[in-house]
Amino acid sequence: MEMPQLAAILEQPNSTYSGSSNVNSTDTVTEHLNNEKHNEHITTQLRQFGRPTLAVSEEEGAASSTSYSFTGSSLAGGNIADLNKSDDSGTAQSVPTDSEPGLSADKKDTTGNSSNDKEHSDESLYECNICLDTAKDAVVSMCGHLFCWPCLHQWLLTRPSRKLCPVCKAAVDKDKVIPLYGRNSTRQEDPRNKVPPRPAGHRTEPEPVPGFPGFGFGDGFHMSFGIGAFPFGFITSSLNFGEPRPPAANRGTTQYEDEQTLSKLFLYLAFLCIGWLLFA
Amino acid sequence: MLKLFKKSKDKIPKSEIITEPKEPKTPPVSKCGKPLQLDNSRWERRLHKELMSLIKEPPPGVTVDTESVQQNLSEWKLNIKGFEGTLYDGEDFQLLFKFNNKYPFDSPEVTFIGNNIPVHPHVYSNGHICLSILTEDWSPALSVQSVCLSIASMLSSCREKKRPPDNALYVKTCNKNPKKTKWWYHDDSV
Repeated sequence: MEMPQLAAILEQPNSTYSGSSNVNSTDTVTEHLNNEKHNEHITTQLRQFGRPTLAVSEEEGAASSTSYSFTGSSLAGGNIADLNKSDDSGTAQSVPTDSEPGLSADKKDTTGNSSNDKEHSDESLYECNICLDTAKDAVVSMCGHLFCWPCLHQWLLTRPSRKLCPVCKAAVDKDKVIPLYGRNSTRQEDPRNKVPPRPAGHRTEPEPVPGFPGFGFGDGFHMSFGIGAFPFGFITSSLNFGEPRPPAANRGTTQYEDEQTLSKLFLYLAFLCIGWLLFA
Repeated sequence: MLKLFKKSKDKIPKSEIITEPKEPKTPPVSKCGKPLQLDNSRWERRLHKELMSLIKEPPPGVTVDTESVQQNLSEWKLNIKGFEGTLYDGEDFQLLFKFNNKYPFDSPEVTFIGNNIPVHPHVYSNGHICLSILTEDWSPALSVQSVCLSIASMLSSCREKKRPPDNALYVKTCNKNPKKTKWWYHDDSV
């Protein structure tokens, strides 16, 4: 039963103070609300400490100091709306001003650790999921996972039959990743175009020079045979320059069919000759 | 966490294992025909990073034998505790991780070592572990930490302490390297 009385007593100095600041009644109402809050706080403290007088005086000081700043700002305003606003802003201001020194102190205490940790966590957001370093030549998969292109490329080569995202096992492929370009990246070229184990260019042999005589069979298969003594036959068949072979007739024409039957005939003839040579 | 591949339809807890004298894997060959140039420092870097994070924030019940790692970065010894409330409560086990220079593209070789090898339907008495992420389901995004977690989960979910049914045969015939074993992952209940 002591506590409410104490609270009532406490209310007095602040309310009288706000009255003396010569603002209208809403101001005092809000002040009262504020004070009630303070008093609640105080009463709880009192219960905790069990030393009424000391706690009261301390809290009184604190309460009065906050009300000072409040009334000051409300005086600068004038009408009720401004007062309400300034009430909000006042309380809003008082919170950061109270908390800021503490925060900065905390920061000062643990400058090294906290900033390092923060940097570390910031960096780890952009770490490649394979090499765990900050992604270089970064690409991101359709499923949203970040990799260095060289790392991902190597993984794709490791299991060419099962191209899965290392993180979530979604399908992933060269064409299904997006290169990322930062603002100050020196080269804006697609990382997918430059890979350490770069695939080699394909070199194909040039088409054989047309003009090789002999009997064509289909498109790619040619054969020729001749009759004669060995060296001369060799020479005639391999060193046969001069008139180039006429181009093959178009498909569907009678000439084409004639050529086909002719080439087949010669082929059978050739088999016959070979068979005869073998068995005779 | 424990994702074992179900391959056979029958649910008989019989892990059929074929130890095949697999030829050493041919290294991945790029299109130009040369073996891929694997940057040595890169896998070492990653191992260092993993070691640091494992020492800094180890998964519950796991400690690193830093001495063994200092001697050889490619072979780690880890101590893992049986969790409270499981069949392995109060037991201590030792795991050996062996990394080759294709790590993390190739999975580490993980076995139980020491005197106390957990009696578990997926752990052979020679320490070999039947766990799919150690071979075919390996992904370079996995780490020592995630493997430890998988093994811890495998141990914790065990209902009955027993060896795999083909333990005797497998231990006699298997290769020293568990990765040479062609594992059949079929029982994903434990």
